[in-house]
Amino acid sequence: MGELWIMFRKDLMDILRDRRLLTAVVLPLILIPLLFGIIGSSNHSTSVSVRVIDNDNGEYSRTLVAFLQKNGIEVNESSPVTLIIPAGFSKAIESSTSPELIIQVDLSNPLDFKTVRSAEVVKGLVLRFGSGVLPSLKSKFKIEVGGSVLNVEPSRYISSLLRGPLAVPLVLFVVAIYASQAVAASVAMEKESRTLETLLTLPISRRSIILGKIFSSIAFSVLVLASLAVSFGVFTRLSPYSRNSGSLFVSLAPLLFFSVGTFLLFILMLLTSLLVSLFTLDVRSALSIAGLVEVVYLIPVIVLFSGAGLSGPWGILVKTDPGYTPVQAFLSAVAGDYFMALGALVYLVLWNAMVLKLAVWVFDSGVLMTKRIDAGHLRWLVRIKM
Amino acid sequence: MPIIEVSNLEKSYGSLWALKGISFQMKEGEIFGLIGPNGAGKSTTLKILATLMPQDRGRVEVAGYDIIREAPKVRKLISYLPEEAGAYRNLTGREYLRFVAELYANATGKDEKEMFELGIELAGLGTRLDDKVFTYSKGMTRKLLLARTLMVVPKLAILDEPTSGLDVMNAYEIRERIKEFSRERGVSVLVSSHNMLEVEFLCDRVAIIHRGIIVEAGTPGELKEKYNAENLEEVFVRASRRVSYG
Repeated sequence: MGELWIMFRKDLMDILRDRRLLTAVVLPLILIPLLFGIIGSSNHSTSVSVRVIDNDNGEYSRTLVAFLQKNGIEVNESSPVTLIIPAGFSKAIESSTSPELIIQVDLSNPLDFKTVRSAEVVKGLVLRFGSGVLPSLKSKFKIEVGGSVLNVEPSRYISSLLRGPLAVPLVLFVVAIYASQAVAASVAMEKESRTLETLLTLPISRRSIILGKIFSSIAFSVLVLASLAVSFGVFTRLSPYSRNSGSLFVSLAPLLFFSVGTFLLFILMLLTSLLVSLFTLDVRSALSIAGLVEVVYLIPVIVLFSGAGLSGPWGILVKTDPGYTPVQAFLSAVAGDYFMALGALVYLVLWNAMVLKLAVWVFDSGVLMTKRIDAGHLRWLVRIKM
Repeated sequence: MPIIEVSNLEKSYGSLWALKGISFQMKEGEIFGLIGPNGAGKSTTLKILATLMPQDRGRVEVAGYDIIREAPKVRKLISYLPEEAGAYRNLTGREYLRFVAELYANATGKDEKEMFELGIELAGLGTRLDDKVFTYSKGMTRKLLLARTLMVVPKLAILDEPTSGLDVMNAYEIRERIKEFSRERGVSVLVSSHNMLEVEFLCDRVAIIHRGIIVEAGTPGELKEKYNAENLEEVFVRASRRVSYG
């Protein structure tokens, strides 16, 4: 029996029996709605333009365009969001029937959430216009990306992506959140129960100690994810939005780059959580610190999903965050720049190697015996999780 | 060959020098005591010997192996009991002993079952071994940890304040176990304590450490004779005063 297996078994048993880890179970239930809440609340933060094809050219179509402009929408011929006003639109309103508008969205890539967000703003204004003129006014969506056409509302685009081609990276990401909490707690439990000193003098390599904790945390997270999947499955069956509305096709190579990138980011999150939690004094501090690590790596995802632009110094900062690298690899692969995509993965591999080396050094150097992080002032993070 | 050879060992924590160049040797099979007050440098010495942290200067060898360059080899030969050690609270005592026995068996090729059964015998906790560790009293935890330390029959057992915080009965029992085990199995034991009477009872030889310096070393008998003292406590006080006041 190898030392890694012995370590893995002990750690898994220790984690599964600790009730405090329930906080880690609660975290994604709060974090994920929070993420989508931020996305929802950022509707008006981007400048929006729309291309208008007015096949009606009647009184109401002109009023609609003027209404959009009055509300800050720029009418621009090169905009990826097109509002198609069908012929007979004004007459339909006058005769109180239900006219239908088409909002066509042309995404530059599957992760072009900025354009999706613009379409959502246009939709909101069209509905506001309708509420003042004709409540039965409807809008129909066509989202085009890479040759695929989706008939979904913009607000459903992200979930349709996550149910389809991005399901694997999403699963990895959720597992990473759980696992980084578990690994931080596992290390902190060693410190809290004063077993770490003994462990470091046992005849087992530092690498096996680190990997034993990483693997047992992954195993724990997979168990939690399985239970989440069951409840999520029940939720989507009952949800009125679960109907099929077309599927998005993304070619294999970009998906592969995205999945490998997400996996590398996943390992990096675990290693970082393990490294910082080595210096905490108890499980609560460790969970707080792990929460911060997650936030640091989640920033690019939040920025991306919110549709904010990535230009200027802020953009450079976000793009250098390892959390952005899977996205960079994906976008480069979509654009056919495989050299750049590979470079992004190498960047993540280097980060992993650096953090692993640092963790082994921390074990060997003895700084664990003398240095501490007092995460007491970060307790609010735990309270939020609770 | 000595089991421990320490020469000119120095260690600092920032600007504070915990060890200021100590040297000593320990023979195989003996029980050697490092005695001194809190903050004298005992625990630092033991942590360095247990490969937990590197020294700043000086050389330390365990059974001829350098503790920095050959740390993995040293870890196969030693077994360390820290002063404020605990066991995995969510495991039972039995599971904890098995975990350690498996690791040593894997690393050293020793018989896992034999170590495990010896651990059960040394712990002396009976059916409570099947309870989770967080239900144990301090004395029970210490017995479990001592059993874990000794059951692997190391070449060198390093015990930092083995009876710290225990009541008289538990402390007595643990001292008896250490002495008996060392005699029976020929295990070398390095023990630190600020309890002079405990050390006098346990140790073949002692070194008195004060403010990071070894001020005296020898058998308890030799030291008592040299300082014309009745016990080691008196020896310690006189030797320390000599260093403090010149």
